[in-house]
Parts: sequence; structure tokens; C-alpha cells
Amino acid sequence: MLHPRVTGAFRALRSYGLLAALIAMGLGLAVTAPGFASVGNGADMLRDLAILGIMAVGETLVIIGGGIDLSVGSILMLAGILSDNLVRGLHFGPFVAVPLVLAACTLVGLINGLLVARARIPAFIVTLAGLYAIRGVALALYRHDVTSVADALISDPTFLLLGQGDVLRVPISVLIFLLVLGAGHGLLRRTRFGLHLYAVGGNELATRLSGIDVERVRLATFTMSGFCAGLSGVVLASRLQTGAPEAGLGAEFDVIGAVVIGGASLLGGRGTLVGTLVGAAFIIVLGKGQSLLGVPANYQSFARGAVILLAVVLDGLAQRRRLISRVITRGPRTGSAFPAASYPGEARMRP
Amino acid sequence: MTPDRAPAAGRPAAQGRLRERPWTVEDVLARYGLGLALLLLIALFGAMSRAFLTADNALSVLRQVSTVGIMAVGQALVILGGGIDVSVGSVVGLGGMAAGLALRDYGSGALLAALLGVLAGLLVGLVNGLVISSLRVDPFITTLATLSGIRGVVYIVSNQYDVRFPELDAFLFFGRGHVGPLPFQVILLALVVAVAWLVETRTAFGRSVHALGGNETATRLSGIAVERVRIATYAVSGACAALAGVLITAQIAIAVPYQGNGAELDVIAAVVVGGVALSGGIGSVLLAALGALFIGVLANGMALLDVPSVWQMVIKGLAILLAVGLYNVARTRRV
Amino acid sequence: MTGSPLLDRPGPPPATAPALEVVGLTKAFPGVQALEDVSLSVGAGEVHALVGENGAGKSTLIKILAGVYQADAGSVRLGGQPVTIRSVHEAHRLGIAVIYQEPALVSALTVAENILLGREPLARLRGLVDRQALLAEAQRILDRLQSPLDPRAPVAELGISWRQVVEIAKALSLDARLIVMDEPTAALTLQETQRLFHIVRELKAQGRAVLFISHTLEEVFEIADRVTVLRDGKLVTTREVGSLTRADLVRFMIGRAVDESRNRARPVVGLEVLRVSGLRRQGVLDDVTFTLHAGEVLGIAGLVGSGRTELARALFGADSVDSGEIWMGGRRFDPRSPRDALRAGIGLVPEDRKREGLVELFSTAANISLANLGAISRFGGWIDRPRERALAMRLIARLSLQPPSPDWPVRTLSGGNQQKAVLARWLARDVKALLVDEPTRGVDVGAKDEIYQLMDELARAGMAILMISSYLPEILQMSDRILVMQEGRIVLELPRSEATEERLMEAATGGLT
Repeated sequence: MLHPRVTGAFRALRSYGLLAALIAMGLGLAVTAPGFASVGNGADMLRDLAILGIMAVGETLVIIGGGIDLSVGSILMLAGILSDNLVRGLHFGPFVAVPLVLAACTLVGLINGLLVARARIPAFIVTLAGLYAIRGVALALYRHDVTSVADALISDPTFLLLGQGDVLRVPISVLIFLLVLGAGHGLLRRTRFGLHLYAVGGNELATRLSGIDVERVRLATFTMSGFCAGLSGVVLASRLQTGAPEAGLGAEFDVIGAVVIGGASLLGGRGTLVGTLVGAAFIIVLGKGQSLLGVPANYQSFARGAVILLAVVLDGLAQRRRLISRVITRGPRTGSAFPAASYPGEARMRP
Repeated sequence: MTPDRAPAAGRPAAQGRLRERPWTVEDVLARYGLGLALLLLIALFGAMSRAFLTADNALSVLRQVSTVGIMAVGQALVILGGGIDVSVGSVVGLGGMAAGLALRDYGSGALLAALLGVLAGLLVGLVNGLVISSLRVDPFITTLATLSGIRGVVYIVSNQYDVRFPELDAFLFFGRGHVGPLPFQVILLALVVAVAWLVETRTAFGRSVHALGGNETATRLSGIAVERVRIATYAVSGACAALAGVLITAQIAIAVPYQGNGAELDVIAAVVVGGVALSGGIGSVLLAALGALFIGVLANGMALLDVPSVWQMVIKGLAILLAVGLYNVARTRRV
Repeated sequence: MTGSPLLDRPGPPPATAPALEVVGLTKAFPGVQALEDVSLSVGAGEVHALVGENGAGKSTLIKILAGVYQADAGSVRLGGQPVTIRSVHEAHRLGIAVIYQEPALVSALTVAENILLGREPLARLRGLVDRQALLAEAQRILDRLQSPLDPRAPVAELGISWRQVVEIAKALSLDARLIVMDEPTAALTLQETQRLFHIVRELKAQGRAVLFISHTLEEVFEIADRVTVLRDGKLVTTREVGSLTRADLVRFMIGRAVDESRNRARPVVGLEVLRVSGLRRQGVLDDVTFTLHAGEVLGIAGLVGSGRTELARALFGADSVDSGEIWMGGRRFDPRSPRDALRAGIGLVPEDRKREGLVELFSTAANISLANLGAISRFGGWIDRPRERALAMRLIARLSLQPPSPDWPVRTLSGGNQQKAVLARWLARDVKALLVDEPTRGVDVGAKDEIYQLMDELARAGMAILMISSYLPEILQMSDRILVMQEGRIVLELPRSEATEERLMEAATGGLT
């Protein structure tokens, strides 16, 4: 059996390199940062990771399909505020409230998807507008008319299990994350949908020619992204015991950062959830380590920015090709059936 | 005649007659659509609210949009050249912080402080441009990384505290002063827009930017140093953002580290509503500034009419979508 | 036609209903008649070659079969049944598979996943892919092609020849009755080509019809059963390959000797303007050496892919070279970018004016002045509009550009006028040497003539012109000297007086090795 040698060795090196860097960083921090190598901190970081990770799963799907979802932070906020309203304010049981919130967020994702897939508006614009609109709706819905101190925080014990509970010392939020991760992984690797998703992101034209409904695939990714962001929001609200509006601000950049560091290409067609997991872990560990080291809070952003940049440069080198800013102009293409031939000294299509 | 922004439909006219090419619906829409929509909006709000059509209110709106407007001009230039700059929010903070620190720690004069602020933004723009051109990294990612990074830098240099500086009258004038009835900020906006418009439409540089966004390969094969042009657009965008930061800092008389957080989205929204195509080559700085004005008027009108903030956000989002949708339709109809 | 009744007799028709039958196919584009009343047939189990010069209509025919274009007139029959191919999707459904030079595959997926994309076998739990079945099915298809390719291999790791195999496997999985290949061997090594032919013979044995375009005549003789020759959009002949010699085929492709009445005697050429020595670039250019003189038109002939465009780009500083030297006007010239080339006085009219030559959003005047912004601006940047306009008007008049208004967006101009606009750009710049790549591609007859006249005037005025063309009559008509390139190398150099289309075509198709 012939098996040509890997030219993606660079890519493999980078994935392992990332993991190695993560482990090295973790070890380094364990030695230098007070309190880093404690069980408490470990659990803390895992919970943080769970929340970032759940959102990142949805975003990864969108990005593999060649799109981008900038509204996830706002959906996170919406979910938190809705949970707050329903559970604390209106005293809904969590078994009613949570599905309602998730449904609402999934609906939002669906709307995003419809605008991108059917109305053919670039995903960048749709989710940018969504970021505004959803944030506005969320803030408007935010009711914090507190009647007593006791009423200021969510206190439903079942609800609080999501973000604060443990099962055999493992945080429930982490279990939820693993579940979502596993489901996402299975979706990507084992289902027809996953296959088609890679195809859509990798070579839209070839995929269309194979009779696959590209729009439907894209629509699904945005819907799922909405769901994941909503789930993250619910878990976060449970953890903080409130649906604080500040919670989701800037989350979208963390999420996109995690996905990009994890190896997904913004052009689509490439990326794995394992990579996203490592990318998210990277961001969490980096942030936590620095704050434990007493480093001023926003050194984080600096380091995060540098890391993302480094990851992308390496990715660019590995691809040996110029990345065009397709991420914002992914609109309808008046596709000709002819991909341009571009090999050196190559014959070309003639008119 | 400016490089044509809108496509002309149909075949060329009969030979032998020298005449201007015919105007089509798309031309009219692209050039005047926004202006018309703005006039309609003003008429609408004017009819619905007494307070809207007053000089006071007009000046208030203009002042509010002046910072976004200035930033929109720089962003439009970048986008016309085929790129995008999402780092502007952080550069706003940097500009203000640099000015504030210059005033506080180095006892500099008002003008010098302001210039230092703008210079800081220019430098960031240069870095952006260099990374994008030389390392060939995607502009979105690069400026996204810069967004994070520069915000961090701002926090570091300010030690995470707000920076209070000696309140020089000259400096505060930038943010609060008036020349006659007009706030200085508004005059500065007009100046920036005018200069940018002239550069864009009448200079070789402006022509190169349009060419770069229109067809990079053809531009390169015509001997234009596309890398330099690109870097310059990012430098301008950085400078504009920093200028906005200086103005805000001068207005509130304090340099706050989180200044400008989220501004990048407002700016891009303004530019998009102004009809600048994200793919490059189409649009103008004038319309981008108009887009900022449009959003500002929309927000102002809604506030005066006591529209609940839910609806305000939603309408804002809808306005962006509608604008893009319409421009898309107008552009794809021509083929 | 040669006029000989013996040679002009068509070959024997195939026995059963042919897999593909095309009758009277006609297609015109603005200014160009791409196909005119072309008929051919391909039987099941037949390998049919389609040859002809560039612009002969081969690609257009393929695109009609692929569903990209619709014919203006004529009919297509598959297996005896008349069909209309309205879209690419429909072509697929009808059992037509077209394989282009750049295979349309998804590199993130494996071979098996690409072969069965959209038709993956499902597991019991609907939605899940049955991996075993997928691999097994893909393996089955690959076995039928006798290909050692591993279905689990990621396509990203495969070179182009393997990707072609995957495409063929995909066609097989669609049970395509007609497989069309557009210059499949252009990017392959000798060994890979043999492998491909092996597969083609397999397809033949399976009773499928194969139609392929080729420029390499040896291959036509090696693998094809019959060959159809097109010229200028018309059918020349269809023959059994066994009944032809290579010389016959070349003659059919070229036709009668070209009308040379247009040849003007140009004054003796002037000084050396450009000297190239030992230019090399891996896989693209191989030891290219020649000179170009003032007042001379140097024609560069050769097939598409022979390195001519790459040569021009290298001279213009648009691409880099591995080694070699260039002298311009007697001085060492090392262009790192087109700016350097411009400063030295060289201009380039690129091959693809739409993608590389024009800024479509700009007006004619703005396109003309694009390489010359310095000259029309003052104080280092301010564009002098009246001057730009005057310049544009002058050139528009000189080139008879239609419509004669500088403000029309270039997009609305016809192909010929667009080409004139690009030429005008370099005239505005007053260059010493002009590199022209396919000067009249996609240009109507009237404008073609005007462009020839222009080039003639420029040469007489002392400009050195390097003209790349795939259209041999054009080379013969315009050039003072001719170089023929093949696979990155110059294989023939001769003065025009010694050149004939046959000799050039021989050299270009590798007949001189």
C-alpha cells in the first residue's frame, strides 16, 4: 500500500509543539507561581476551561465551515441574564428554565445562520450586528430589582449544581464540557455531517458539485454555536450565581483565539476539537498563571495577543501560502466552475 | 473624475460621440443613497420630536460622532485598500494614555502631548502594516492580536490606574473648546474628513489605495509599491484612532485605561453603513464619515424619542444588516 | 483541408450507439466564434483525443459538455439519448465526469472520503458514516483502476498525479460513462503519465468513453484510438490514429500556409536592449539565453506551460529566479519587483488582462495612468486631472479605443479595447522594451489588426518588443526573430524567413528532442 510521506509534518510538529508548550508552561508556573500547583487552583482552572471550552466547540464548527461567529459573547450574556430572570426572579424550576434558555439561544444561532446561509450576507457582518442586537436585548431584559439581600443571588440548589457542583471531585461543569466535546468530536469524525462540514470549508465548489447542500451545513453550524454559547452562559450564571452583564464582554475574542491557536484555519476546512481544547487550555492557563504571579491583569491581553499572532504566523508558514482576509468577505461568489490552475510552469485554462 | 465607484450597466454608447457614460440606478444609489436616507431620517425625527431639530441638538450629535467619524475615515482607508483594522479600539486607549502620561510625567505642553498620542497610534499602525505585508499574516488576525496586545500595554504603562494629569487649558480645549458655536472636535472632524477626502480622490496615494483594493495584482504589475501603500493605510488608521483617543481624554480630563473598549465595532459598523465594501476598492472616506453620522443621528433620534434601549440596539443591528443587504443587491445587479 | 480526397475521408463510425455524440455544436462569445458546427462522436470503450491550437475551441467544447456553457446551436446525445446539459450538476447526473488540470478535491479529507463525497455509505444509525464500508468501497474502486493508492491517505499529502487518480476514481464511483480530461498530462512526469495511461486503458476495458485534450502529440499516438482536430472553432477532421503520421496531424492542426502578405520589411534592428543569460528557476525555466534589440519584434512560441509567461514575469521582476543574469542597455539588471523593471524602462502586458492587467472598477483614464502616477502628479502627489485626461485622450485617439471617452469604467469595454487600454498604459510610460503576453487573446478581428499595426509602429520607432503568443500565424506575421520554448528551455531560434508553422509546431511539441 502506498502511503506518501507527510508534508504536513510541520503541522503535526505544531500540534505537538503546542501541547509541549502548554505542559512546559504549566510546569513552569507550578514552580514559580504561588498557589498554582494546588488542587483548588486546578479545579478553578478546570471550571474556567469548561465554560470557555463549551463555547469554543460551537465556534470551532462554525470556523471549520468557513464562517465566523462574533456574537457568542453576547449570546453568553443573554443566557446568563435569562437564567437569572427565570430562576431567581420568576422562580422557575431549573428543569424548565434551562431548556427555555437554551432554546432561546439556539434560536438566535438559527437566525444568524439563516442570514448567512439564505440571505447570503457575510458572516462577519451578520454576527457583528448580532453582537450589538443581542447585547441590547439582553441588557434590556436584565432585571435586578432586588427586594432583599437574600434575593440578590440565584439560590436554587439544583441550578447551582451546574456551575458549582462536583461528582466524585470532578466539577459538573467539566463533565458537561466533556460531554459537549465528545459529542462534537463524534459529530466531526464519525458523521456524514462532519465530513461535509470539512468539505464545505475546504473546497466549497467541489462540495457543491458533489450535490451537497452547502447552505444547510452552514446554517447548522451557526445554530449549534448559538446553543453552545447559551450552554456556557447557563453554566457561568450558575457558577457566579448571577447573570452579570459584564460576564460575556470580550468572550468572543477569547473563543476565537482558542480555536485559532488550536490549529483551525480561518479560511475553513481545517481544525480539530482536540486542538481547540489545547488552545482553550492554553489561554486559561496563561491567564490564571499570570494573575497568580501577581502580574497586572491586562498583561494577559498582551501575551494572549502575542500567542495568537505567533500561532497564526507559524500556521501561515506551514501552509506556504498567503492568507487573504476571506474571513470577512465570505459572501456569495459568482463561482465559475473552473478553479484556477496554479502550479509552477503550469498549463492554464484557456477561454 | 474619481475612479468609478459604482458600475455602469449596459453596453457602451454609439461610436463617434464623446459623452459621459450614462448614470444608472446603481450609481445614484451608491453616491446619494446614504445621503438621501440621512435626510429622510432627519425629516422623520424632526417631525416626531420637537427637540430634534434644534441647533443645540445638532451640535450635540456632531460632537458625539466626531470621534467615531475620525476613526471611520482611517478605517475606510484601510478597508478600501483591501484590509481591515480591528485594533482601533485599543489604539484609542493608547492615544489618550500616551497624551495623559506625557502631560503628567513629562510635563509636556498640550500640543506636544497630543502629537505624542497620535504618534503612538501611528507606530502601532506601522507595526500592523509591517506584520501584514511582510509576514503575510491575515489582517483580521493580526489586528485582532494587536487589539489584545495594545490594550495590555495601556494597562501596563498606566499601572492599571486612571491617569490624572495637569489640566492645561490648551489641552482641554481639544476636547471641550469651541470656536464660535462649533465644538473644536467637530471642526477637527471636518478637517480630517476634508484632508482625507482630498488625499483619497486627488492624490497618487489615494489612487493607489483604490487600485490596491480593486486589483492587487494589476496594481503591483503597474509598478506601484503595494506594500508601502498598505502599511501607510494602517498607519493612518492608527493615527486616526489615537487622535480620537486624545480628544476623548481631553474631553473627560482623565486618561482611562479601558478607553475605547469596543470602539472597533462601532467604527466598522459606521464604515459598512457608509457603503465601503469589505472586499476592498469600493467606497470613500466621505461616505464612511457619513455612515458614522447616520448611526449617530439614528441613536440620537431614538434617544430623544425615548425608544427603549432594547429596540435601540436591535434597530442599530438591523440598520447595519439592511445597509449591507442593499449595497450587495445594488452591486450584484450590475452583471 | 489538404484538398486530397484520400486523406479527407472520415474514419469508420463505431459499431454500437456511441457513448457521446455531438452534432453541429455552435457557440459564440462577444466578438469571437468559439465553435462552429462541430460534430464528433466517442464510442464506449474508445479513447478519443481532441487536438488543436490554442483558441481552436477545445476548451469551449469541454465546457459545454461539463455544463458550464450552453451551446447556441447543435445537439448532444449520450448513449443514443438526446440530452440538454444545463448545469454542472446535471452533467454529473448524466454520467459525464470532467477532470480539470487542478483537481477539485477537499484536501482536509482522505482519498476515500473524497471519492464518495456526498454519497457516503451510512451506518445503521442514520447520520453516522460506516467507515468500513466507505473504505471498502473506495478500495474496490481503486482496485479496479489497479492503483496502489491507499484510501486512508489524506489528500493534502498527495501530489497532483495522485490527485488525478482520486478524481478518476470519483468519476468511476459515479459510474460515469464519459470521462473528459483537460490536458491531464501537462503536469505529470513521464512515469506518472504512464501510470495514468494504464488507468485510461482500464477505463477503456470497462467500456467507458474517454475524451481528452492534449498538446503532446506522442501521447495522442500512444493512447488514443481516434483523434479529432479543431481549428478556429471548426472541425477539421476525425481520424483513426493508426492512419496518421505525426506530420499529418501537425498539418491538420495548422492548415494551409498562412497569408504572409502582411509582412513588412522593417529597417535593420538597432542596439541590444536586453540580454538574458542562463536564467534558471526550478521546474520552470531551464538555462534561458537570448538577446533582444531595439526595433525588433522577438516572437516567443511554444505551448501553454512551456515557461514563456514565467520568463516574461521573471524579466519584469514579478517572479524571482534561482540563477542567471540579465542586462538592460548594457548594464546588469536585477529586478526585485515590477518597480525596478519600470524604472529600467520595461513594461509588461500580462496574459490575463482581467485578473492581472486592469482594475475593473477604474475608468479607462485611471487604468492608463496607473503605471504613470508620478508623471501626472505634481508636488509629489497631487494628481493633475486635466493632464491625466489629456494623456488618456491622446492615447485613446492613437489606439482608436472605443468608446472614446476616458471616463467609462473599463469593465464595460470589449476585450479588444481593454487590451488597448493596457497597451496604452505602457505607451504612456514610454518604455524601451515591451513584453507582451498573448496580445490578441480574446480580441476581435478588427482590434486585432489595430494592435498588430500598433506594434509595428512601435517597433519602427525603436521599441524592443518581446511577443509571446500561442497563435502561430501571429508569430509568423509579426516577428523578426522567433524563439520556441518547450518545458522551460529554448529549443529553437531562427529568423522569420526560415520559419514555418510546421517547424514551430514540431519544436513546440517536443519533436526536436
